[in-house]
This record gives sequence, C-alpha cells and structure tokens, in this order.
Amino acid sequence: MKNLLPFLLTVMLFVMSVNSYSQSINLMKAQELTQAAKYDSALVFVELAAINEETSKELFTWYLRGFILKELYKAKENSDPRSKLREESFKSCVKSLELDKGSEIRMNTIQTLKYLASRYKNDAAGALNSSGDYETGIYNYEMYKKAFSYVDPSMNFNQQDVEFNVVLGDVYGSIFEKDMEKNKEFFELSKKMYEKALVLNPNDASANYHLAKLYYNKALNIIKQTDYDMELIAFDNIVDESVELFKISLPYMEKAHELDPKNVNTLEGLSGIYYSLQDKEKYEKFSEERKKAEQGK
Amino acid sequence: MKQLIFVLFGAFFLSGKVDTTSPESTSAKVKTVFLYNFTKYIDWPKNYKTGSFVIGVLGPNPYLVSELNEMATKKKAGSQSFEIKNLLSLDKNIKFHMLFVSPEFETSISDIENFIKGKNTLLVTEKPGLAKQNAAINFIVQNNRQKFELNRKNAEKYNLKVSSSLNTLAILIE
Repeated sequence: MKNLLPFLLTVMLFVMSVNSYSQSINLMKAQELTQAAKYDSALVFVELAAINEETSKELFTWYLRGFILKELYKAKENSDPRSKLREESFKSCVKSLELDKGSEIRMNTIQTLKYLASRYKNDAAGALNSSGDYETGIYNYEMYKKAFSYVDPSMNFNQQDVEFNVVLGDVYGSIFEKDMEKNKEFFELSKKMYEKALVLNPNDASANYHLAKLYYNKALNIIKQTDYDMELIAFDNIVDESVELFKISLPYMEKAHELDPKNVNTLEGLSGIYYSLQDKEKYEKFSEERKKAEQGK
Repeated sequence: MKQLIFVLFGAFFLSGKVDTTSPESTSAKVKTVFLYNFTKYIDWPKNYKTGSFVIGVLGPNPYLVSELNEMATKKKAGSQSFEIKNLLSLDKNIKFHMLFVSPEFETSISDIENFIKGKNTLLVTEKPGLAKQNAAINFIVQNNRQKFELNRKNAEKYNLKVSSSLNTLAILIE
C-alpha cells in the first residue's frame, strides 16, 4: 500500500493537468474559430469555457463570449428588438469588465458595449416611432442606458430621459385617443410621462407642448364623442369638463409658446384654446400670429 | 454616434399637431346638441308635424351647417327627418321649424321678425340682448361656457309650447 501512494498521487496530478489543459484548449479553439468567423462553432467551445470552474474566472472567456454573441446577434437577430443573443452578449461584456483590472482588452469590451448600446437605442426609437410598442421601447431604452453607462460612466441621461418620456407619453396618448373609454388608464400614463419630463426639465418646450396637447385633445374629444341624444344636463356637465381641460392645457401651451414663440403648432394650440374658451380677442391675436409664423415672418 | 442617438428621438420635438377636430367644429357640435335637444322640449303645431323638420342657418356658418347635416343623417325630430338649409339672404318662401341667425349675418331683428311673421318658427340667435327683443333662444357665453337664454313669451308668440324642463338649464329672460 505504501508503494502505491506516490503512484496514485502522480495519476491524480496527471488527470488534473489534462483537465486544465483541455479547458484552455476550449478557449483556444473558440478564439481560433472566432478569427475564422465561424461563430456558431466558436460559441460551442466558449460556452464550455464559461461553465468550467477555472476558465470561467478568466476575463478573456467573457470578453470572447460577448464578442461571439454580438457577431451572432448581428448575423441572426439584428432585427429582433428582444434579441436574446444581444442580451447575453451584454451580460458577458459586463462580466468581463467586472473581472478586468485594467487589461489590454478592456477597450475592446467597451467597443462591443458601445455597439450594443447604439442598437438598443435604435430599437427603442423604432419600437416607439413605428409600432407604438411601448413595452419593447421601454426595455430597449433601459438596456441602452445600462450599456452606455459602462461606455461612459459620467454620462448624464437627463435630457435623453426627457426626450424619451415625451415620446413614450405620445405613444400612451395615441392609445388613449383610440378609445377614450376603454383606454382611460393611458391618459394617466401619458400625463405621468410628460410630468416626469417636466420634473427633469421644466423648460423643455416639447414636454410642455405635448402635455398641453394631451389635455387639449381630450377636451375636444369628449365633445366630439358625445351623442346628439345626450340629455342636456349631462351634456352641460360634459361641456364643463371640456372647459376645465382647456384651462389646464393653457399654462403648458403658454409655456411652450414662451420657449418657442414662432412655433406654428403652439400658436395653433393657443388660438384653439382661446376659441374654445370663447375669448375672441386672444383667439384672433394668436390666429394672426400663427398666420405670420406660417409665412415665415 | 452621440449625435445620431439624439436625432432619433428629436423627430418628436413639437411634432404631433393638435387634433384635427378643430375647435370650430367642436363649438358647432355643442350648438348642434343644444339645437337637437330643443326639438325634444318644444312642441310645434300639428301642421308642422308632417314632412321634414327644417332647420335654417342664416348667414355664413360652414362648421354649424356641416355639423347639423351630420346630425341629420343620424337623428330625427320625432318621426320627421331633418332638412338643413343654409341661407345667405332672407327667403320668404321657406317654412322653417327652427331658424338660427349667425352672428356674422348683418340684418336687423325687425327684418327677421318680418321674415318669420305668421310662421311657427323657433328663432335662435347668438348676440347679446336679442332674447330681450325677439329671439326665443339666444346663445351666450358665461364663464367661458356656451349657455342659452330662453324667452318663453317669444316662443309662445309663434305658437310654440316650451316644456318647463328646459328651464333647468336656461337663463330665463322675461
């Protein structure tokens, strides 16, 4: 038995070194396939490296995984705003940076994250601008901010948050206007987004205008959607409600006008509000200003 | 890259015009709802209860005429279909159930009185003081809102019976 111990120890050490060597082989193979642009195959080997106890602690493993997944995302899921490949690439890059104490490949990881951030931002804008898919828009915008925070930790997102909240408010507002009864919660959601934007920047002309427009359109629509048959007392209450909405809209529209005096849309809004509030003098004043603004005077 | 990122959301700055339902249309809708409801609270003589229910709009008023035409496609006054006529001058040959005189129409109230003399026409106006003169109903503005004055005697002068239920919302003029 005593004579067997050195032999057993030798065998154990041999097995361990073979195991370690084979995991390094996985990483080397992944890198080799990546260089040959064979990303599907590269992924197989880098995933093995990622789950191995030793190589999972290496930042290169995660950097390489992030890079491979990014390339696969570009090839296969580029038009998918909910791409899992992109999300996994992001997670891998973050893991790589967490392990990175100032290596040479740090900048490469940052570049990958910068690319991912730009794609998230594009998809956020695309989701909101074209399909009004607010859930996808919100998800992509949040991911954009997370990714870009690694690219530039000092980045202040305030103004972009303002813009995003206004666009999102507009999407919610459009849903509300499609069916004011069925979608009434979207009025509050829309209002909340504009108000959030105004908390960040009370002097944002767009946020002021859009909040004014939300109230203004509701004021018009509740009359527009009234049935002729409505009993007069109930109708009188609707008219009261409409007037109150115009009054709420007014200060925001005035603020938007103050910030951008030649803007035709705010001038149209102001003339519309004053017309609806039966203020003939101010209606005519802003109608005149609107005409001049349209003519570029 | 940063500039591109800003531009992506920038397209929404102050775009998205206000509703295409113009305030003029909405104001016309308010009047139309009132005018339609008046047909439910006012009783015309028997010989006015056959044929079309004719509403005349005197003077240029495209939004109101459009809105009334829209209402006419959907509603009736009892069993009578609505007929909407827009006149730019006083035409004595037409029998109106209701005549709305646009504020822009330049004429004296006595001319209008002559025009509807002997007819059972509800005269509706939109100028201060006219309910005290000859109008049965006069639209006014009160606290930024459309309201209406009711002079029951001016309605009864043309053999029109006004339900007391209309008093609830009206500003009564003696």
